[in-house]
Amino acid sequence: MRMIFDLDMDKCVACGACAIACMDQNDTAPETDETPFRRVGTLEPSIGGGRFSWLSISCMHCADAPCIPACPVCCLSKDERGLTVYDNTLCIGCRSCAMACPYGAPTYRADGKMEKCSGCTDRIKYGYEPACVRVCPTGALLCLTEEKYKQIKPSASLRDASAI
Amino acid sequence: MFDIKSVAVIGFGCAGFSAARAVRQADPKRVIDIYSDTDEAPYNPMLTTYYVSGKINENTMFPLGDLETIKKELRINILCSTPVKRLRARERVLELDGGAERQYDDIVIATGAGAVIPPIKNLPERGIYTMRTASDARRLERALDGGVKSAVVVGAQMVGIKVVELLVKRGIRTLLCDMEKQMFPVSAYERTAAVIAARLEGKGVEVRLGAAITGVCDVGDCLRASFSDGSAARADLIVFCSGIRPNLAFIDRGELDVGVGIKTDLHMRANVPHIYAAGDCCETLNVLTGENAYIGLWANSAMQGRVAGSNIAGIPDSYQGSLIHNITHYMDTDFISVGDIKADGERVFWRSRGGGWQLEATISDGKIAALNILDNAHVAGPVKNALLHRAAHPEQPISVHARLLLSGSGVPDGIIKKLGGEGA
Repeated sequence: MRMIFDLDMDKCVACGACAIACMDQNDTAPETDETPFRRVGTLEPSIGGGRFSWLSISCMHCADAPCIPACPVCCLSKDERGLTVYDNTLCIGCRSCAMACPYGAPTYRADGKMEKCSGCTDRIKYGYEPACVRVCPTGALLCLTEEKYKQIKPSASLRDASAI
Repeated sequence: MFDIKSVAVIGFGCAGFSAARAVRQADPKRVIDIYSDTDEAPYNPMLTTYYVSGKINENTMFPLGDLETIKKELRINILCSTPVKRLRARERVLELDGGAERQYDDIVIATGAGAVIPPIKNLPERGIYTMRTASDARRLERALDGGVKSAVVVGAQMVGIKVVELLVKRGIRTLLCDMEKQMFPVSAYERTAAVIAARLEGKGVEVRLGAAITGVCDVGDCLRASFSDGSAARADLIVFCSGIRPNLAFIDRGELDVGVGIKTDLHMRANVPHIYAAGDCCETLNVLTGENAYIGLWANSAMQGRVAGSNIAGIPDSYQGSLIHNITHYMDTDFISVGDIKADGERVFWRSRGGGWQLEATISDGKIAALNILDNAHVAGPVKNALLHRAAHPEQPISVHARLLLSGSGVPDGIIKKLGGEGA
């Protein structure tokens, strides 16, 4: 059963709850220079054009994830739910996945090993929502089965806005 | 009676493997013969320096598995140590050692590229190394384990820098030289390159630029290298990382259209019917220029091989093209280059508040045509994909997440707009 991550940009208010929940779930310590997996921010329109945007960004678990073939030592793969997961035992810290990822999702620990959002695959396995989705107060972050996603796909989908 | 078709894959690296796998996935019956000039599984050339540095073990240089497993899983014939002497492309005939000839329905040329040593007369038999193949890596590792105190690395580019890193890690006194006057001459701007060179010197590496190696002689207890600027250096060994060249000695250039590599279309077809090429021996579309270019990268090879194999098996597939891009991480530095830095245009430079990272770019016709980034790998992917996106959809702004990541990293609106940001 494939799961799909998305963000409804019409509902996101960039409150940051998702980023905090993600750091808590993954024991990320920014004070020791660890980079959080999820980033939140706003984009102000420039004079004469554009729209104000609120965003929360992490791995989008792309269907044809470009990070997977980019990794020279095959650390990245798809799990049975279509989430892009990793085993960084062999990671050499070469940054090839960073060059491939349109979302800037891979981060690197002090020892050079890559880490990223794994879609809270263990939480999903036990019937829980990913931490970021669980705490989103506006329901902007989504992690749904493909079938359910098709039914309620947001009109302001980050996936669509990001289609490259 | 069914007519079982046959395909020959010449060369067995990432592209050859990917082509064979795509053919097999689409056609369980087709005869697939692989011609390899070694008896090794496909290796990733990029991993050779990581093996010598001790970051990975020997098996990890072969990320697609061992030969026996590959052979069994793909049900292919792998003819080890069987180089193709000549390809008669129009006849689809391979000439082998001893006069044997084999004809195929389709042929994939996936012979990759080999390291180039500059033409230096009377190179000594000992102490000279290259860094491209698994065998090169084992040879250098053995030499270093034998006790080396000093080394010269020729070629201040992507491979050379990783060799320098592993030598320094072993405490070996290292001289890095290049005939060009700057580091990364094909991928870095002069200003960015100067920062890179200064950092290397700060870590104890001697950097000698504008100095082509012109001679090497064995002086008994070590080698003596001489350079075009009149200088010389003594070292226990010399590692040539001075570039690569496609392995195409067996083809007839009167038959196949060749630039740097074999020219292909987006279906990975060469100019002769039923002949395909993929990987580091071919040229294909550079999406930024619309022209063919030689862009040798592991991920490109995998996609090109897959496209060639699928099309041979009757499943239409096409390659999207690529752009020139490199990323390397060494000695606490991330260096990223995207696009052709030689493109004409205005040069802009930006450094983050606090100096954590920097960006240098060429602006052509109001848009960023190429850029260097130092010390921010997180924005490399969004930036590269923004350029790919702009090439495919010139009228659309870049994605919101690319803008957010750049903006969140402090990049001024003016530069984001020139990358294709909203309002550009």
